[in-house]
Amino acid sequence: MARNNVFKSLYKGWFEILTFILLALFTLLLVSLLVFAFLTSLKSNTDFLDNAVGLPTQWKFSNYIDIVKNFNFYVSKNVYINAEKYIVETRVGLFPELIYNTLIYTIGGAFVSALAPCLMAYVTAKFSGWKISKIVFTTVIVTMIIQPIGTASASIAVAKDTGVYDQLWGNLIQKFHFTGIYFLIFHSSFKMLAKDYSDAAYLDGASEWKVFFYIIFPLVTNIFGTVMLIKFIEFWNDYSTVLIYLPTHPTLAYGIYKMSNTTITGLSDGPHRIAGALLLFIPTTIIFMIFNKKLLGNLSMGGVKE
Amino acid sequence: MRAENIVGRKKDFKDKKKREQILFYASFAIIPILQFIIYYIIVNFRTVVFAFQQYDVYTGSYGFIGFKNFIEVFAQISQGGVIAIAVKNSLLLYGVTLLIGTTFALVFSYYINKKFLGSSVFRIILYLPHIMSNVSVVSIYKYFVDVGVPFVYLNVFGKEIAPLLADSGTQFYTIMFLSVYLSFGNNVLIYTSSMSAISESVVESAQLDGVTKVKEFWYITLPMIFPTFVTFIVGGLANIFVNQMLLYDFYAATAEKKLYTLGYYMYREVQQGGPDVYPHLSSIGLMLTVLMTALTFGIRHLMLKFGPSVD
Repeated sequence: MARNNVFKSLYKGWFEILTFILLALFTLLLVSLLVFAFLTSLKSNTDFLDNAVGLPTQWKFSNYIDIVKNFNFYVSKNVYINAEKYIVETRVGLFPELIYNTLIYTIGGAFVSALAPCLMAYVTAKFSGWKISKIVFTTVIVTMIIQPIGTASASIAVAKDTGVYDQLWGNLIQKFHFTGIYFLIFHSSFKMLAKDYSDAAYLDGASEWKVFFYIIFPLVTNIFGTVMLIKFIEFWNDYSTVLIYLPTHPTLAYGIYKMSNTTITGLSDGPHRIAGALLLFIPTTIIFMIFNKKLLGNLSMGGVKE
Repeated sequence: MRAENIVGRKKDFKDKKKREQILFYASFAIIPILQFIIYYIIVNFRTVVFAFQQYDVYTGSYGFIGFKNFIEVFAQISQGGVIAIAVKNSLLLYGVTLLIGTTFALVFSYYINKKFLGSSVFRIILYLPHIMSNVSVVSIYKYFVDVGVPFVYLNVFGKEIAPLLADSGTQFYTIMFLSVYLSFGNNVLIYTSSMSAISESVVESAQLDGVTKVKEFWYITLPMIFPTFVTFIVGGLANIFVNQMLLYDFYAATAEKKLYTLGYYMYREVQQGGPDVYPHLSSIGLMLTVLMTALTFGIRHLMLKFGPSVD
């Protein structure tokens, strides 16, 4: 009887059991990768080749220091005269430069990426009856449905023509666009805010700017912060945009990309390359551990839900 | 007279208020709109223009050549050139991601939404790859599959196997596996958000009727999140032609042609090439954009017409 009940439960719960097994396998693979990476990053190359998956015979934390102190790469920009490629501005890139560029690229980029949709969403939500607001809203929807492909060539050409190419501040201008899902999220949130707060402020003679900065914006800082977080992580990990648009302003992600292919003696082995890969991973892991509820929470239209 | 003064003062006030509102709107909107005009409209216009041009290497300028770029692309595809290979691989990757990736993402999302055993841990684990840089993951994965896996296989089964990325039989699928694996996390987050909005009363009444978990998923959950599912599938169609399958992370610009996807081909060419390749890439981009737009509307229409409904 008891055995029959067990079989019945197993039969009824086969979906949960099977999904649990699949999720466990997924988890096992990820954990295996991370454990493998951590242990490898602390080995010498000989140790790694002799024993790829075991514990290090000698724990070499110095691998990380080796990278920060000794890793360098050539920073250059391609200039084309007619179709001939010329390489200019070749110089050696070092870690302090990577950190500086990364902070501007990620924090600056995250801020402007959140600010542009926030500002546009507010005015289109507040003045939704105006023609221009309807045009802006429709434009956002259309640009989400019709996604142009293969515009990188023209984008580089326009970036060069407008002087923003290979400039950190220029890249921030390129990121200051309002189209995309976050516009809709901000728009919905502003629409749902009670008008009582702003009405009271208007009666006291507050200007539109004061109402926005002192009353409305504080009510959406949660969403603004979450959008900034998401974009920060995206830009922290992004090297492909830097490769094309900021060739002489390498970021940490670009440096790690170079590191993964480096031929510098003493740094080109598996343990050092993996140590470099983990270096990039550490800050976003810390951010994730602190803010995982925000990142995994429902950033939906209507505000952030826990 | 007094009434006219009051009306006049009210009108002045309204005009002043209106002026302030216009100024306020302009102060917030002018820069984003200018940015949109320059870096979206002009960029797309330039793409269309490039598609009908050719670069003159002697004068360094572009000249109009009609549809020649498009004819060359079709010729390359029909001759089985690199673009044909890239199209084939891109479609294969999308098919696998859709079939396996989306199915698993839906099932995992349902499991997490139901808060079954370990769901809070799995939720974090599934999202973790999303916060890791692809270049970091690929760096680790390369050594894992080329050194770690053969080492373990030798020690467990006593047989040597070739590094998975070095063996031409396993290379493509090893890379594709990682690409699909990393796509789960973002999908799960979106589907879970959508499932959490389903009314509890609907679920409870179904459970009272004795519905199983599978039936609940198929007849209640899936129809109720179907609009989100459609939006996600349709929105992801463009990925067919921009997904690099992590090839640049694996090989930089030196991937073998048999591995190419369209996304990798386009990115590699623009990164390695100069102004002479812009017309060729723009013509491919324009064709794909037209194709994608038609597909987007068509598939969305079909899915909403024939898909499950809440009724």
